[in-house]
Amino acid sequence: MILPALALLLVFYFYPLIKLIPLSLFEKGFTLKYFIRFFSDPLYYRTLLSTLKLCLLVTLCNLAMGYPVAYLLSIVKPRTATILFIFVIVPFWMSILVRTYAWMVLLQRNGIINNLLIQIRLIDKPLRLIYTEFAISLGMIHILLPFMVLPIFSVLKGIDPNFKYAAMTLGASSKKAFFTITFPLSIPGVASGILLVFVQALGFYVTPMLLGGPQNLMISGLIDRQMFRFLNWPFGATISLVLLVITGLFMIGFDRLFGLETINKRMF
Amino acid sequence: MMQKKSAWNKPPYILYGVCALVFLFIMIPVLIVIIISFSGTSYLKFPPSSFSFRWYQEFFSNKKWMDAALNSLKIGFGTTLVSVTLGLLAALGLTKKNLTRTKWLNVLLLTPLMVPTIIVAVALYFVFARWHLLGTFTGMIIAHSCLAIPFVTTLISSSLYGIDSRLYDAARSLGANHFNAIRLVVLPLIKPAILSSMLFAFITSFDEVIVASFITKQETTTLPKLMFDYLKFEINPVISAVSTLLIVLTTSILLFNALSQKSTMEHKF
Repeated sequence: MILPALALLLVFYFYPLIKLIPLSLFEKGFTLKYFIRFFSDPLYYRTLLSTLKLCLLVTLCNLAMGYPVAYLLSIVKPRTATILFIFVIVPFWMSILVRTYAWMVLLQRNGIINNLLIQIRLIDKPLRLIYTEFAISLGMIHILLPFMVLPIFSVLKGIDPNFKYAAMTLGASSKKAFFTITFPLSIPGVASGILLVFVQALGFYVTPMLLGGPQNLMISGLIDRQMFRFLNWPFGATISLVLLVITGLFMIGFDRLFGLETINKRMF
Repeated sequence: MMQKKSAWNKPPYILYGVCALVFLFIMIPVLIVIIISFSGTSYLKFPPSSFSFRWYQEFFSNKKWMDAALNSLKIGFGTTLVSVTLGLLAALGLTKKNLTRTKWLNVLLLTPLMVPTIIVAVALYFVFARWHLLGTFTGMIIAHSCLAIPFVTTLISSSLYGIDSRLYDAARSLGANHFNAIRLVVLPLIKPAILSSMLFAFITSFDEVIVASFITKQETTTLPKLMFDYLKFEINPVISAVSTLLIVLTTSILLFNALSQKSTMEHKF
């Protein structure tokens, strides 16, 4: 009974992914020219580096914003938690396109933030907000936040509060109990959140394209350009493969440290 | 105990402050889109100076938008049917063989959540071009089903894992064959999970934009693809109206799901 689903995934999901390998490595015989081009042309490897940097920034901001929310959700009364949960879950299922559009409306040259700032006379010329790395980061942080909150919340919820009370009866302040007991125990959730956010940020396509414009390409933008503008399909396949390998490396690294199977349990 | 808990668990005020800011950050952009969708001018002004339904009228009277919405519905229903059927079968098979907790399977089910959709889109573009599936409904339904099957399977198998297997055994010992025991005993017990997996398979397909923008053509363009194509060039106020409709759709599906599950906290989705 597993067969139909497995067959569909093998033929229409895994086979196409594997097919990227011959597409990028063979052209009338084995060739490394596309990989050499990617790693020797500064345009390409610099874009890769700036993508990694931006994703790191997005992940750190999400951690700073997501941890307090997850912690609050884990200590409030169940009914309050359910209500607050709506704020995390509803955006989670809301179209990425809709949320990106919301940021376009806010950050446009004649958009809402600029209009508001001009109206209250804080500035007299519109600020350059959209088509910057700042705009991309805001959009991505907004979209990926639930992926940080959910796994951390699920781990925090499972920690026996008596551990903390024990520390406090033994004289620890609540701050000290948090930093020496609760926080270290929540590290697996933090790690899952970091992995989920970082890996998904790496492949973000719609948000950087709409909020970053052509000047602020991420690696997905390079793929898009090769595929549709220059129609250089083998090179498009090569860049996709590079991105796939990087994603895979992060997943393997995480698996060694924490075990990948723990993530499913925390997200679903 | 309760008293002690509340006294000892008192978080610092700064926690409330930080969380309030984060919740505002999450909600404000969405609320603004909803409000400006009722604006009377095409100029982005907040708060809007006049109120109208003109962007909704434009959406519902424009054939291009309507065709795209219809395509999205067709593909969404097709995806729901295919992915829930196959996912349900897979979940039944996995639970029977006690495979739900094996590592390779969990990793397999997690892969589609982690592999960037842009890569899947590129990969599908190549093979679909060769198999003549580009720009077809079949191609789109297959592609979206691949994205939905992993979490449909996870959702249903975790519900199956929670029911008492002796109920199935009892049905068998009372003379039901395997098929009837599943149909009359197991399926009614996991009905809530099947319902939510249907709703989420539908949203997954209905909101999906990346694969759609790679493998659809004019006549199979979906709603998100059309929005994306417009937004690449300009902000079009009709999109505020479409976005609001999508927000309402997603929220009502989630609400419907939560009400039909009752224990929302257990099934987080």
